Amino acid sequence: MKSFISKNKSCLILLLIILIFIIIFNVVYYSNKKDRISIEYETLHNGDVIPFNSKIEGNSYLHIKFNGDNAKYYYVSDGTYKSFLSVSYCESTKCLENNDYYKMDSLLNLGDTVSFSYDVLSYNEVFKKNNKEYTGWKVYLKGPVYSTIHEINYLGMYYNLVLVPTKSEKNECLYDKDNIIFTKSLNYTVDSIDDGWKKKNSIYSYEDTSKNILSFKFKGKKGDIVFFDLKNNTNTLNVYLNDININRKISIYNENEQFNNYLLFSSKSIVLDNEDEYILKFEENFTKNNYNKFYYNYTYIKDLKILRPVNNKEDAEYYYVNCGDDILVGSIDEI
Amino acid sequence: MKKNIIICIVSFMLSISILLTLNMGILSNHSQLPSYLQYFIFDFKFNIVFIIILIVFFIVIFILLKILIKFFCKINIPDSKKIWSSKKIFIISLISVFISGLMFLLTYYPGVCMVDSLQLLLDPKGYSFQYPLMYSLFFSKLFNLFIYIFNSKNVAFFILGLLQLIFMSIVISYVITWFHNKFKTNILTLLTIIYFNIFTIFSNLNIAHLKDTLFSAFILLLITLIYELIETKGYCLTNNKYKFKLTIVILFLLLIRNNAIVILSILFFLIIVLYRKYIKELIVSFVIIVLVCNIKLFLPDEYNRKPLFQESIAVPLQQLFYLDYLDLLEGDSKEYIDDLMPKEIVNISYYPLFVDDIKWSLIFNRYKLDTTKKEFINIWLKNMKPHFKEYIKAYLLQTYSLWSINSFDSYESNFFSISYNDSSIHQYYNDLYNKPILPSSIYNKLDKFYKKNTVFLNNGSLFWIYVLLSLILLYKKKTRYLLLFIPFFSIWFNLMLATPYSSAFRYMCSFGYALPFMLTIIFKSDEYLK
Repeated sequence: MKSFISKNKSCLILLLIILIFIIIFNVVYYSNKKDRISIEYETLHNGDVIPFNSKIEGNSYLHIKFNGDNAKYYYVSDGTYKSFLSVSYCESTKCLENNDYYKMDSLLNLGDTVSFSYDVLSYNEVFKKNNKEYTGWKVYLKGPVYSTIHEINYLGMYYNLVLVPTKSEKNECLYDKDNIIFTKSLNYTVDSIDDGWKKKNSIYSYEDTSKNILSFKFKGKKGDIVFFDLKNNTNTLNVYLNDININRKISIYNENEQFNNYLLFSSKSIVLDNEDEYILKFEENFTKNNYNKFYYNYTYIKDLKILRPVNNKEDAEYYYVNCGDDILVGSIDEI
Repeated sequence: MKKNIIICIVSFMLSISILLTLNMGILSNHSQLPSYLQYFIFDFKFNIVFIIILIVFFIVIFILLKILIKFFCKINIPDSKKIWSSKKIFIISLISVFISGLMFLLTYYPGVCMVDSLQLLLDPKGYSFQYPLMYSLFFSKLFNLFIYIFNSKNVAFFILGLLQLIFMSIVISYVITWFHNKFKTNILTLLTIIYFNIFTIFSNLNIAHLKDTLFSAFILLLITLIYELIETKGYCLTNNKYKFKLTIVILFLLLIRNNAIVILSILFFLIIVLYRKYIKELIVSFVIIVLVCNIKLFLPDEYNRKPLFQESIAVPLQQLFYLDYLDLLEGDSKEYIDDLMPKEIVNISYYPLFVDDIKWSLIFNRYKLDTTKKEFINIWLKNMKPHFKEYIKAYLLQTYSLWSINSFDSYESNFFSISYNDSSIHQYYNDLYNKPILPSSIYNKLDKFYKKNTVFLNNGSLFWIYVLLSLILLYKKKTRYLLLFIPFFSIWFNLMLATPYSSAFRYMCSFGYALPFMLTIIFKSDEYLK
């Protein structure tokens, strides 16, 4: 035994160091570990937090199933760094069109199921709700959706969250006559467009080049509404109205400070104060590293309208409703 | 006789490799494919013409190999009469390698990295399902410490690169000095020093945030230890200091790259077989290796992420999606693959040389794949027989640059900027970007020079060179010394089984780092290899 120890002295010391390291690592980890709180969910509102208990936390993927009820978009974010959302497949509804798998604006019908695979990294944010701290991911349900979580399954590294639709409160907003503004659209002209921007089926999309500006010119009056609906995977797109940045200052996700600069699936409307000639400019900031086309080429301006209020429905082409967090713009035929 | 049979086998393999390489791009019936794909589809038939060409190639290569081997066998560089001092060699190597690297680092201030490096620094445990946890944790903590000290991500990133450069300079200089002392030939030592300075790829790798650079450093150290092992016929295993050095090197290899376990398993198995009388000397080292391999089991669950199934099935994935791309899948196989990724997406994202476009696509349903592993394997096996030819093609395409002397691009082979594979990471690193600190006239010249010259042999060529070197040893009857090649061939075989991208030089950069040393061994084998 003695000779064994003396022959392997250095390696035994190394073994001891590794064991001490493992012990210290565990001691430090468990002494710093906060209690995780698991809560029951009944309803889920826009901006609600889904906290996960310690058993679930720290895994790689969140598999989410939504049952939609005329929801326009579903958007899930961990609230911090990684906010991918992708459609894996759709059932009983054609939710994907024109090979555009990032365009999630197709209407879903009651009972439809869409599955999303979502990369959840370990950037769990600590949220506060009812004076309790939770670590988890923040769920944003954009559009008129009001759902309950039906099930959370622990499936190794994945979880299923099935949202079952209930009565939508947000839909009622659309039918509140006092909120609806009847509008007609005004013409605008393209002021400048770089090679990186392409127009296809009235959707402008940004494809990587070094040139990156797309701007529109129009004559606006006080009370006109500039509405745009866009999708951008990160905060790399800036939108300016007469050189004033308008997509950073006011965000539809501004309940939490961290989201003020975070633009995803963002729609926005600006009510003009003055009669003037305006230039609306979209500028992509990102320099692509030419690795994977999927990661970068999906900035879209899905919709752009300059709307002027009209007095009656007969003269109107579009309706405009501001439903708190959500701005609804649609054809007048819908209502 | 035995030697000739081996040369015959190598010549045959090399003939096929060259013939397949020459056939790339010759097409007749794939006009429906996009042009960039057409280029990558093999289109040849095993007819009489093919066989005749193959035989001609085989004969020519066999003769050439024989001539080449005989030529190398005759080369014997004598010992220098007056050996330069070790100290001098160490200092010259250290300074030259460091300065070459520093020039690179200053040109591309604050440093360069591969696409995943910043994610590893930001979230080491989040990426532990794919990257070695301890490596990522160490650099992440170090990076955060430097940010805390210098209050600048750029300076912190620069310091990380600088520290790696210092470490690499020391290791390279140590190994150069070790070889200088062992083989006592000034000219070979001098050529080795020149090699590390003239090929800017090594200056590039020395400063790049890659696990592969550090992995190569420990492979170099491992080579010196294996040499000692062969030279002493295993007796050095009784030496406490040697065992410690061997264990430390293996330990770091395991901590730096996940597939080191495959490489070391083969090496360890051979060491045990060849030097079995010293087997008991390796008990503690073995315990340490087993412990380190399973270190995640002793850490909190959060750090013990299961590896994704997709990471171990690069070749089967490419084979099935190749079939899907060509509309050859039917029934439940088609249904299953469609669930993993819709056909419309496969049409635009399938790339025969790069599995990441499939497995890391946002659309790819890795959830399904991970929960239906058995089903995937069954579907893969089921389609093997009816589509064997397509399977072979897909495999050859996926591993193309590992066996071919040609390469299509240099992705992940050289590094000139801080790369992001995910644009959303920008908001965390918004003040971390490359900005030249050298005067613009100098920067422009250096940038142009580096971008033009930071190239090296492709992976396939390096593999065939190593095959040639091992044949020379075999021819010289120095068979025991073939153990030196085991780490390299293990790396290559491992990549042939599961490489995500065959032309990435970083996966095989240890071949490049070790090349001058392996050549030294060959040139000095008559005198020193007993």
